[in-house]
Amino acid sequence: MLQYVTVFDPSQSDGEDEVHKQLLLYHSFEDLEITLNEKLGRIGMIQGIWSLTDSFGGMGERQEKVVELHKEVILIIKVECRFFISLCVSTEEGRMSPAIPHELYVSQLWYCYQIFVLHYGPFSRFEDMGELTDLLNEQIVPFWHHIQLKPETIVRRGIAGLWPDGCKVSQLEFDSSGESWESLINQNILLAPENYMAVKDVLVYHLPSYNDQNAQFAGRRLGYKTYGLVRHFSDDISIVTQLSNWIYHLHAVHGDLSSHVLAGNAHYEEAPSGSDGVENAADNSTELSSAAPSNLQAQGRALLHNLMLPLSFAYDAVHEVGSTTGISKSMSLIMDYVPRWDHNASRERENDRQRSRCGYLISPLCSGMLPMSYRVKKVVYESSDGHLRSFNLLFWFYDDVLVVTVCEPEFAKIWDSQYLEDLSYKFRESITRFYETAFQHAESKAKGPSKRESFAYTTYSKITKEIKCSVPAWFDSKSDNRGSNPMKLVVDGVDHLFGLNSQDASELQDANRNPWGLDIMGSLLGFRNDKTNQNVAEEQYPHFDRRYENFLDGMTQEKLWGLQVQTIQFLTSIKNSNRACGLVEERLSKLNNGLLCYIKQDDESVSVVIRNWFEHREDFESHKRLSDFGKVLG
Amino acid sequence: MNTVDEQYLDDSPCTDSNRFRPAVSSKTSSFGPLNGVISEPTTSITLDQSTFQASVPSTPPVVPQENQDTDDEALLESLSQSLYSNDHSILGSSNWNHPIVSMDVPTVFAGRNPVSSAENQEISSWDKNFFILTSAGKPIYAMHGSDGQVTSLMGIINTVMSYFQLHNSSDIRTISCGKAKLAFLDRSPIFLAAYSDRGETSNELINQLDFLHSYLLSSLSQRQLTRFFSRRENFDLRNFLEATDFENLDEICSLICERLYPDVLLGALQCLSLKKTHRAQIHEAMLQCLLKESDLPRGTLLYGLIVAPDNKLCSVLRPRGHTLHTTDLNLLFCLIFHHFQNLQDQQEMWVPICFPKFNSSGFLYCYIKLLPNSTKAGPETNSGKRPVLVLISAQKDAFFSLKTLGGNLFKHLQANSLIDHIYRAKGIKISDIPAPLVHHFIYKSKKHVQYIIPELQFVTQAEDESQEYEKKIITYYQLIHNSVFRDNGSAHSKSTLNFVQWEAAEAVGERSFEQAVFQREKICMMGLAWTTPKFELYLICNNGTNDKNAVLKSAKKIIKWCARHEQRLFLSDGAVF
Repeated sequence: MLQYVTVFDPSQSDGEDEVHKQLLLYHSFEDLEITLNEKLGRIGMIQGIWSLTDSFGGMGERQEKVVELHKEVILIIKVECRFFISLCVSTEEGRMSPAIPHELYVSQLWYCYQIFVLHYGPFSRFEDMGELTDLLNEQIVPFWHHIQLKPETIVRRGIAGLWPDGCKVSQLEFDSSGESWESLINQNILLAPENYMAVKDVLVYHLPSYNDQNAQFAGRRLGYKTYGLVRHFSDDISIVTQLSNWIYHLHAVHGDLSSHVLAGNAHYEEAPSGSDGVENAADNSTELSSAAPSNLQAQGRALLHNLMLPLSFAYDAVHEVGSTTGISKSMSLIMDYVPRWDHNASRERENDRQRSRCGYLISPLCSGMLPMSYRVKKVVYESSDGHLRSFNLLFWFYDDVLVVTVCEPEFAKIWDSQYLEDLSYKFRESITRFYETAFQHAESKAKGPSKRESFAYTTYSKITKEIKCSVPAWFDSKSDNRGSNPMKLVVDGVDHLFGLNSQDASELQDANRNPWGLDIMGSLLGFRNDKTNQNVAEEQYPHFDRRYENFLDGMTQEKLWGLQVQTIQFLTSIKNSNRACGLVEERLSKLNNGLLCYIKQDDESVSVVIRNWFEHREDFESHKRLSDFGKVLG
Repeated sequence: MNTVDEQYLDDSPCTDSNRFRPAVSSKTSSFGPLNGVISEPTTSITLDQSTFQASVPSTPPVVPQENQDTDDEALLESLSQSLYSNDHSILGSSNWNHPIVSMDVPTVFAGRNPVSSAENQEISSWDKNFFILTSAGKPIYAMHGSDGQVTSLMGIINTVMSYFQLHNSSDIRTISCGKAKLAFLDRSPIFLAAYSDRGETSNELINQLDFLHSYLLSSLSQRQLTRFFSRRENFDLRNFLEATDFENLDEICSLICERLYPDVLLGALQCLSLKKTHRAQIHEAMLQCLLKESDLPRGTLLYGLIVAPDNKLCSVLRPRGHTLHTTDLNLLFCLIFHHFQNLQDQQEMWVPICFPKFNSSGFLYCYIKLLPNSTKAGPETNSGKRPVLVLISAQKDAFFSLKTLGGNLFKHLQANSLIDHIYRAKGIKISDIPAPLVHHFIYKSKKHVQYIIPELQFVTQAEDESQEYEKKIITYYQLIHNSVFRDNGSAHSKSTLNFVQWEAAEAVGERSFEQAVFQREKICMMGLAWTTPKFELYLICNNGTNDKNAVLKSAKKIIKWCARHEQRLFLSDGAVF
């Protein structure tokens, strides 16, 4: 699928002898040997294309270009006026599964750059290009490696991933009676004397897990419009979009957020390749499992490989964490190290999931033996005076809510455990109120279960950079392709290896007390550690009065993805429209499959509304103007 | 027809809309005779569109007196809206909120073409360009730009195309950057590239390149091209092409880019609207003449065509089971009406033309002669252009046989007054069709691979202004067309209905006295694309239209009207022998 990713800076070479200096990173995802000359040839061609297109005028303004070949697509972005990041993706049939529009790959290129800058600052700040190359290898290669292994990373972002400079916001509606959860955070935390000016901001995300396919059909899944940044309190910090996109990316890659994921220690391992094509066998295991018995040999290879993977992965995991912490062979550590992706919906687990959980993911309360990235997450930003400054981030979770506290690096109180316990208590108080007001409306209780919205929408504001989206994301791809992902097999294997699937939840809770403070958000695996953080809230939220669902929530995932691809095509078409400035362009399309799509684009925003023609035919026919429903967006 | 005065001052920000407004006087209907063409509706007119023109309330509204479609509520509603609309016309009269429906079409597109087409213009100042070069990098043709400007550019284009062939064994298709696109077509030994900043799709650009390449083949044939380049790879084709070839390429590029020429966009051709019986008589006459020609060996004649001006196919004589490709016919028509129109009455032409989609390796020979003047109809229509008879043979020496056949056919046609019918055949007008609020439309019948398009009625005398107007209309169609097709040319779904609307954002701030007193025409354009397995319909509404229901009703009426008059509007089988 992916062929290569490269980063280069043409300004680094002064003459023919120094051409190689411009190449900062070249990573091939294929097992082909590529000479330096070939690599330089490719980046030279990319530069040639860039300058060729610039000479036509209209193409020079944008900093991204797409080169479509018959069998592949080369995506190029230019950052900081001189650095090029380029990705080559094969479009040969069967290699891109599911077929992902290249617009989403371009967005991923921007995310990739954003995440790098969030961690290390802009490329141009590096004087030593060797250092930059090392960091690019650390950051960018794993980023694309994950996408190579799990293309659903892109799919999960869905249509909201079309605007890389935007940030998906959650649209929970809070009951206005009584004290709001925001005011609790404001008064108790941000305006508290001990935190004032030191805690810069608190970002509250609602990140419900969409991994459980059964939950969807049982009508227990929250609508996608609730996903995303719910609120942040200060306009002073400029990294909200980048930070949010980083968190969404991690969530999309791993399905759940855990301490390891946020600390940057959880990585997918590629299945060993080179030994008689084992990797391919694993990749195609879905096909193999349904193949005729004549394929037994191939199946056997796959089986052997799948059996071996867990072992090697588990040992690698123990070894890696052990070497950094000095602790090894801790079963609980392994359990926590590997985020769980698979959820066999057993009854016990269902019950567990209904309980409220909370804890910290990244906090100084973590064991001192763990690396610093588990205790505090550092991010950098460029201040208005041009200097590179940093923030310390702490992460808590409360059920599906992730709370990120942004502190000044000099704020020493975060190392005081009592202070952190207090802070955690205040957050819990606030988030409890959050749940009460967001999902348990007195009104809706009286009216009965809330109705599904008859339309789905996506809006992007070019000014505020906010993305609002209620088109459900496809989070269930792995469930649909059971066994096809080598990483999933690994995780399954780990569970089997330690016999955890046979134990019930109560046993697990007692057996696995984890003193390390590692946790995972929204997973049974993390639930076991609730006691360790001593933060289990007693309240239970088995039923939400409001689920913020729309008519697409009952749709199968493949159809949903098809719908998103179709909508992306509509959006691309309107984006490329030759509309003059100052005009509003609207399109209302009705396809024969019943999709009714309204798109509006002006200089400030893009809005998409999707409805089902067949479901609401009478409504439409009685409407004077079909586009009236566009007004629901205001 | 009703006469309506121009009763508001168009002071829209877009200057183009003023330039293309017809000089309407109190004595001239906006649908009145134009350029000397007598308005003669060919079907029952049920509605005069000029009634939709905006009026201020002080003037008594002009209500259509006859042929009113009484059951059309939407129409009446629209009428009431348009006739009494007075949005922002007088200070303080903010109670009037009805939109204004105008007959004019403002432009809604961003463009950056230089005003003058001086040769020293920067390449970057053009929003569309075509480049043709050899696979060795030698320039053959560029639509815009001097030799000095394009030579290096073509060198880079050649390098880029060759690089991907060599290193990736994959042809480069497009480079895109937002709405700007650079598309490539490798037809070794010829490379073609198109640049467009007009939001055109890749498929559209590649089709245009294919059309240009087809022209080169029609002039040279693939065999000849291959022979040139197999001898010497860096052969300079410019030395071999004649001045007329470059003129024709210019003409084709201009047709594609600047004129209302949807043939390439739709992959279809236009047909002369002719009564079913008349067309059948012409076909019968063609067949009879062919059968009577006992001297004409079987197989001498491949195809016979009568082509009316403006690239409209009138009738076709063809062997059973064989048809000519649309591209081949489009090219032939282009050549006829842009190259061979200087023929005198008695002159004939015998031209070798390669039909690239029929057989790119060889030439066919075309006998071309203007149809004799009609006795009854006016001597010349369509700015002096006359219908043409084309007889196509594969044999180089069939001139005299075909000349005899042509002569006999003319006699036969004249004897039955069929030539008069061809001369008198009128193009359809938008007022022929009871489709309120519709400014212009294109209807393509997929079965016939033909389309119909009403004559443009707002074209002024000035050539450059009418050209600008045509460009504006075709740009609308391109956008509307692209809204229902993907970038690769495939349709979004089997049948799609799509409304596209452009509206000026509300002006913020206080209005000046001038703005308040003199009414501004607000941009509110709507288009519709409707594709089904049977037809494609694209329509542009009058400015100010915002009632989708009324537009949909009009669209349905157009479709109904086209279906009802299918045999008159489209050429089905032709005379088959």
